[in-house]
Amino acid sequence: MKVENTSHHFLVRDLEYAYSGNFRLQVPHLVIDRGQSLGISGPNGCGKSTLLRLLAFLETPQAGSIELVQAAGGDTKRLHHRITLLLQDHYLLKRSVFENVAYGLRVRGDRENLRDRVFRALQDSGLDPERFAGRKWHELSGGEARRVSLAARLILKPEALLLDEPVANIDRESALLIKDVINTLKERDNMTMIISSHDQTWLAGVTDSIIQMRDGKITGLLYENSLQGPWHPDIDGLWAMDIQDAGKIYASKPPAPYSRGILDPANIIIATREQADLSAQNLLRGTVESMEQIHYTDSISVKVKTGTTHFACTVTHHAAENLHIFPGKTVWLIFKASSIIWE
Amino acid sequence: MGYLLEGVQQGIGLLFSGNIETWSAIAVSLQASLLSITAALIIGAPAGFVLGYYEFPGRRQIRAVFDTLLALPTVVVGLVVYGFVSSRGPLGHMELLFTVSGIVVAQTILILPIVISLTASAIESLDMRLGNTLITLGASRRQIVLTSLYEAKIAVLTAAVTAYGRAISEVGVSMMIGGNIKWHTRTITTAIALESGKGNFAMGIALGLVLLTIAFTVNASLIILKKMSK
Repeated sequence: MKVENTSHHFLVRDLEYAYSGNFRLQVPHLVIDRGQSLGISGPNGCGKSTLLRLLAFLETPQAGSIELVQAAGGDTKRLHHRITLLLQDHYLLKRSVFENVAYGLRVRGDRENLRDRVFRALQDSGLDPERFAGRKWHELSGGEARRVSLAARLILKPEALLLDEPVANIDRESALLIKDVINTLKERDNMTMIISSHDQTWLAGVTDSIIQMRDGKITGLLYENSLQGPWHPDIDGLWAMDIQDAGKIYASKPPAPYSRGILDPANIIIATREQADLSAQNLLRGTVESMEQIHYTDSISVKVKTGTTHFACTVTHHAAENLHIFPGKTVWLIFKASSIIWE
Repeated sequence: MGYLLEGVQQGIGLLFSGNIETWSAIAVSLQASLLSITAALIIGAPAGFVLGYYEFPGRRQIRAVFDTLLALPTVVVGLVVYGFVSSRGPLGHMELLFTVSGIVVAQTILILPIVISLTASAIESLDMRLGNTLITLGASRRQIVLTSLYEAKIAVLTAAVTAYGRAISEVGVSMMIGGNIKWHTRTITTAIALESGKGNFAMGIALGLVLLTIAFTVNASLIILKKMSK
């Protein structure tokens, strides 16, 4: 058995896939780690779904390769028993909700505690088992049907769960529930997740990092800063959130005290000296923790630790050179209160 | 008109009095048609799945051939099978001529195109997303075939009912391959043809009524199944 770096889960090399003449997906290099939660964002038709279908081994690459790395001591189950994809156009079998959720286990010949497991999967997907298990496939709303499809995959406890636009065209309640489900799975089961969405804000709430795609290519790696609050009113009509051991972050008025603020890494300026007389309201002192080249761009992602919070910032090669920043260096992060946008 | 009514009365009488000759023909008909529909489904449903599910060179042409064979004349099937199973034919040693097994073989050939063609249409009209959904849930190739046929169960059942209707009502094959031998290979249809030729109208009507009842029962059960699966 070949064991490479066991923390790697998917290894993509020189991947190419073309169809209908003028669309071509090209991914020269992509590594997804075990337990990582990766977002894929980009406009319609950029190749998100195609990349997910390739990663789910539904399509065969025309060139290059995708390798699903075995865990050390991992068994050699069939590929489609190790990973699963929730298709954007999800589909329910013409049978009851219970049978839809149980299907994957039945085809594996795994019938142990079937009822309990189906009920738990429904519960995990935010559906009351008593109410929903007996319903027919056509007795569900769009959001409920999507959650049944999700439950049918959660019950399989896959190594990797791939979700293609899981919250497109569904009600807000379902979107929030699916977000909670994903976050629970991440923490509880350490499952690798690859999730595509055109809704970057939603995606940032469920993933560790986001790759951006355009015209079949990965154009960048996007880290976002998520500021969970609670927010309280502060001076000058601004609202503030306390960060342990590092002071406060100021923002404009949030829709609610527990609203999540999003701070684009590109909106943070890194300075190596404390600046006085700033028009920006936020000035935080921190230490550079890591720096990473963002694939296929001339940008560098810099992770800065301030108190107990991490910030991702993006700087150009040129700026990084001028600032002489390196891991361990003390820096100041500067950004406007208005740079924080609300989810 | 009185003559017709008298025939119906006598026919019903024959059925309820348990006329052995009448019931023998009914038994042979049911035996042959049930065996041939079973064989046709075992061969035809997977073949229809392949034709409806996969894209491969020549698929359209094969579909067109089976669509044409839907209207296969029974006497042509009878003739061809006769050629094969008669004592001088290549399969003569199997001694299928003038046996119920021979009728089953010929009826299976007759209705196979119906099962294949209608199953292929049923699979083609399934949702495109079904196949990928089953793959992502971990179904094997065999499980995909079975689940797809199950998803299309109403259309597949309709194919089966249509095919069965053709098998039980055909005369040509039963006459040519079975030979209409009393107590052995005489079926409902060959008996009707013979008895009405002989002027024995009552038995013809009795058997005709049975044939209609079978057709009605099969179709009614399909309608009930359709309702139940809603």
